[in-house]
Amino acid sequence: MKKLVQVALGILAAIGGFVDIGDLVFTTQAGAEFEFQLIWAVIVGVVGIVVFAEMCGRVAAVTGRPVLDVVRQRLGYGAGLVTVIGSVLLSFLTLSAEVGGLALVMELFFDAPYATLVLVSVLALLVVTWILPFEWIERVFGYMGLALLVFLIGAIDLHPDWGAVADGFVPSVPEHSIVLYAYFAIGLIAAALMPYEVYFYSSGGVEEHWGVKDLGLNRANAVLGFGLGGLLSISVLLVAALVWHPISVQPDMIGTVALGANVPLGEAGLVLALIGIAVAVAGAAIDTAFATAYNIAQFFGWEWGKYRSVRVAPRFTIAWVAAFALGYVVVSTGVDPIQLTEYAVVFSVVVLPLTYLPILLVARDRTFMGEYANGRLASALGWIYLGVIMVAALSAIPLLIATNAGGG
Amino acid sequence: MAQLAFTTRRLVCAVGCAAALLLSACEPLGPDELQREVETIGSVSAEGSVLADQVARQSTKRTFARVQSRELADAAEHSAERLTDAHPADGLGEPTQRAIDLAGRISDEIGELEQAPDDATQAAGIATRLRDLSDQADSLAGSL
Repeated sequence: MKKLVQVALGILAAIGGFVDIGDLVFTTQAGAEFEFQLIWAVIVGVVGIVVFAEMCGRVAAVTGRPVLDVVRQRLGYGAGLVTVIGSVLLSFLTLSAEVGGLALVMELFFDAPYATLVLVSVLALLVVTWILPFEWIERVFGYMGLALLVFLIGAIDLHPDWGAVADGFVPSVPEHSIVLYAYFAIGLIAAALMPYEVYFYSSGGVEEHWGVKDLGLNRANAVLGFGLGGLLSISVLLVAALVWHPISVQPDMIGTVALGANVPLGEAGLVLALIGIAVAVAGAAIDTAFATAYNIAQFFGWEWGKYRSVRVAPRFTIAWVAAFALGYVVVSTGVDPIQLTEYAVVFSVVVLPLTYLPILLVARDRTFMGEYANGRLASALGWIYLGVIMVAALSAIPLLIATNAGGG
Repeated sequence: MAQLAFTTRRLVCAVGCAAALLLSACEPLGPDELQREVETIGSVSAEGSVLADQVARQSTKRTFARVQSRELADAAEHSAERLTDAHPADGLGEPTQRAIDLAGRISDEIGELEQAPDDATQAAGIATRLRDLSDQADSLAGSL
C-alpha cells in the first residue's frame, strides 16, 4: 500500500509523456478513426517505457546518475551535445504547447481572451513550481491527473462490445488507409516513449535521493505509474471510439476530447474531464520545463535539483524559469499548441535512439552496475524495444508527410 | 567565389520554392480534396449536434457550450472560405457550391447555439437540423 501511494513520480512522468495536450487530441483522433483497432499500439508503447524507465531509475538509484550523464559518458561529448540540443528543443517545444494547451482548457472554463489566459497560465505554473517542493509537485499533479479516469468510467458507462475491445489488443489489418493506420500506430508508440519522460523520471529519482534500497520503489513507479498513464490513454481512446467513431467526427480540438466524457456522464463528467485535462497539461508543462533545465544543467555540469535552494543551484533555477518564459513567448505568437506538438516529433527522431541506447548499454554493464545489472529478460526486452524505437524514429517523419499529419 | 555560388544556389532555391507555392495555389480543387473538405464539414456538424444534444438535456456547462460552439462555427466558416477561394476542377463547380452552402448553414446553426447556450428548446431543434446537415454532407462526400 505504501508503494502504491509513492508512485506519483511515475504517474507524472507518464502524464507528461502520453496524456499531454497533443496526445489527448491524437489519441482521440486514433479512436475516432480506427475505433478499438489501435489499443495494441498504446500497450506496446507502455511496455517499452516501463522497461526503459525501470532501467534508468535503477541506474539512478545504483549510481546516483541521471540519464544525460550516462548518455554523455557512453557516447562522448559530440553525440552528447547532439542529444542535449535535440532533447532540449523537443522538451521546449512541448512545454510551449502545454502552456498554450492550458490556456485552451482555461478558455473552456472561463471564456476569457486567449492571450490573457496564456499569461495567467504561465504565471500560475511559475508560482506553483516555485513554491511547491518536488515531491508535492509529483503528488499534486500526478494524483490529480488521475481525474482523467473519468474517461474509463465513461467508457464503461457507454457499454462497449468488450469482444471488439479485446480484439484491439492484437494488431489487425485496417479496413481503410493502411498508411494512416501506421501513422497513428507509430504516433501512439512514440508518444509513450518521449525522451523527456526518462530525463524527468531519472532526475526525479536523484531528486528523491533514491538508493539501492529504493529499487522496489523504482519498479513500482515504472510499472504502476506508467501503467496508470497507459490506462488513462486507453480510456481516452475508448471514449473516442464509442462517441465519435459512429458519427464520423474527426476531432482536432481539446474541447472535443472533454465533450466525449460529457456524453455518457453529463455535466459532472465534463467538469472532471476538464479538471483532469487541465492538471495533466499543467503537469506535462512542469515535466518538460524541468526536463529542459535538467538536460542543460547536467550537460554543462551545473548544480541542479529542485531540492536545492536557488542560491545553491541558481543556473538550474534560471533555466526552468527561462523555459517557461520563452514558452510563453512562443505561444504568444499565435501558433496552434496542438500543431506545435507535431513539429516536436521532428526532434524526437534524433533524440529517441541517442537516449535509449546508452541507458540499455549501461543498465546491462556488470562492471558499472554490479549485481544490479540487467537480467536476460530486461536486456532482451531492451534490445527488442531499441528496434521498435529505431523503426518509430525512422518512419515518423515520412508518415507525418504522407498523411498530412493525420489529415489524410 | 564559393560564397557567390552558395548565394546563387540559395536564390535559385528560393525562386523555385516561390514558383512551386504559386503553382500549387493555382492548382484546381480536385475531387479528393473536395471530399476531405466535405467530410470535415460533416464532422463539424455531427459534433455540433452532439453538443446541442447536451445543451437540450441541460447536462453541460454553459461556458463550455458557448466556447466549443464558437470554435465549431469558426471551423465551418473557414471551410466555406477555403472552398470559396478554391478553383474547382471541371465538373466540380456544383458540388463545391453545395459544400459552401452546407458549411454556411452549419456555421449559422452552431452560431445560434453559441448565442443561446442555455436555451434547451432551441438547442433540441438545432441538434436535429445539424444531424440532417451532417447526413447531407455525408451523401455529398459519398457522391464525389
